[in-house]
Amino acid sequence: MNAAAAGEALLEARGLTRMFAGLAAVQELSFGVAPGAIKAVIGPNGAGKTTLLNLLSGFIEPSAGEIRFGGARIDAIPAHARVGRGMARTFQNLQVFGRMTALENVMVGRHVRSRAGFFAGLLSTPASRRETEAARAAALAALARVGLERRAHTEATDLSFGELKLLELARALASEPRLLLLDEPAAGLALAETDRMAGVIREINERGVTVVLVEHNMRLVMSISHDILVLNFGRRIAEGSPEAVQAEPAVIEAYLGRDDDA
Amino acid sequence: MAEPDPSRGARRSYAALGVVWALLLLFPLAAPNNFVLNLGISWFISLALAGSLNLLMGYAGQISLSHAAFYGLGAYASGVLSAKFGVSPWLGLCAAIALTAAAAFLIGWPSLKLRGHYLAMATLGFNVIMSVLFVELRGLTGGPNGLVGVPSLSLFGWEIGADIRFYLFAWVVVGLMMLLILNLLHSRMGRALRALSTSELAAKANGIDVHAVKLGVFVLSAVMAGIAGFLYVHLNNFASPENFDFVASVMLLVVVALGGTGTYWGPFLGALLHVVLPEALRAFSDFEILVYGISLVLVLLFFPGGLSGAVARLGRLVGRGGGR
Repeated sequence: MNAAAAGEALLEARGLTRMFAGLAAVQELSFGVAPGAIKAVIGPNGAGKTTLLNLLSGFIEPSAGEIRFGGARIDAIPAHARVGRGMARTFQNLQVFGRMTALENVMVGRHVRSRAGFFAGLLSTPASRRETEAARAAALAALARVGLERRAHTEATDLSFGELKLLELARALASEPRLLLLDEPAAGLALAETDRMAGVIREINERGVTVVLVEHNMRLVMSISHDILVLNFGRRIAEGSPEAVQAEPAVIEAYLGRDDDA
Repeated sequence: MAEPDPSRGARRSYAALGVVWALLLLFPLAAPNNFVLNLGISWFISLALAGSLNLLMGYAGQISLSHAAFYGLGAYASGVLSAKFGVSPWLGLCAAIALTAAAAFLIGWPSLKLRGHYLAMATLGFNVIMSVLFVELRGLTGGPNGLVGVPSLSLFGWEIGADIRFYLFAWVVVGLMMLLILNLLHSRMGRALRALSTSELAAKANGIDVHAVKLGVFVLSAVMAGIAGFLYVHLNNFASPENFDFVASVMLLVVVALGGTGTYWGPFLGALLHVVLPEALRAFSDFEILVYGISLVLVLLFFPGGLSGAVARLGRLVGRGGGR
């Protein structure tokens, strides 16, 4: 990637490497994500997609290489502090807050956009109460964006699997991210739910949020991505538009195996 | 019918707390003698302990096995300073708060960095150490015989003796504590600590500094236990190490579990058991902890939500019956 393109990228990885017990899960990976793009990361099982997402969001530390977000190095910043900078994520295996309603779950997403600490909370200062009211309003709006406003006061554990996926998305949106990292948003969804998810992601993107998604579901990937990064054994084997990537021999080989294997 | 609006739910909790607290003003009128009145005072102190432990354990999901040690630290801090050094109990209260906060910070900082049961292990060790100190620092604490000669509190020249006066004092102090807890639960930090109890991963992904929030709630609950200790020592003019040992800490865990963990009203019921059961079980003396254990198993088998869960379920049944 040349310097000019690097300067434009909202998110950029350079020489990113992560070793697990001597094995490289992600190896010497460099790529950029343009502002406003939907970029998919695909690849066979074990290709390092989720490791990559965990590196980008700060849940694991890189063994080597660097990550830039909005031009600044972030690879030494802890995961929770990256959210305040405008990076939010969802999880492949659902991570919702039990014993809280859907609305309360999404209100937690407002954490980085509010400030009241323990003392303000204990004393219920006017500022703290205003923040809670503002968080409630913003959370309701985020629920509406994914079409869950009618479920706001339902306990999270009483929602269906598809609704929980949308709930995680709403919670991530509540933090007003510039970049949304989605870990298999369509995993486990039925066809209609997948299409609904695709519509929601596209709409979020159209409102100016850059999206990086790791996904197995090719129907979703090919329908919404502007740009695809294909990984195999932790390395990049192809990158480009959906059409270009699908035509790439290395990609076909990684997914289907080589002809002479047979 | 529409599901309840959470802000209305919050208002209802405040209203219920107001009603309960107003009714508690009537208790001294109904109490036939000073013994029963003192049970009321004990209930306030138990509620402060159970309520603060519930904040840590029930809402934030962190197990502490040294709540009684913080209770004792608060009691001995203010008790020793006032009995041995003639320091005003109000300065003793400041010392109790500072000491419990510092101790909780020092234990919590390293052990809360790690996930899993490190806090439980560290607090277990801390309680054992504190028990040894309470007994062995004879010169200060009076050793196994206990600390005697602790002065009663006085406010603007009025002594707060162990009768209706102390009842009203505890009514104010513990009422404020329970109000602060309710405030916290409906604030940003309250949501954060409830969130991290079910998924630390998602809490982090939502920008919550999990370590800092866990440490904050641990220190807060320890300080509240310390304040309960301050009440205890100036009520009884006495402190004895066995009230603050490891068994007492386990008992408090059981009290919270019996009442219903992670529910605001659970500790109210748990504290009631904490006060009434020992009186009822006096005949069993040494088997008290055994009876506690058995009742815990029974309650958790039949009412996983504790007593408050059982009451809520009963309420729903009755409500449904009335609606038909």
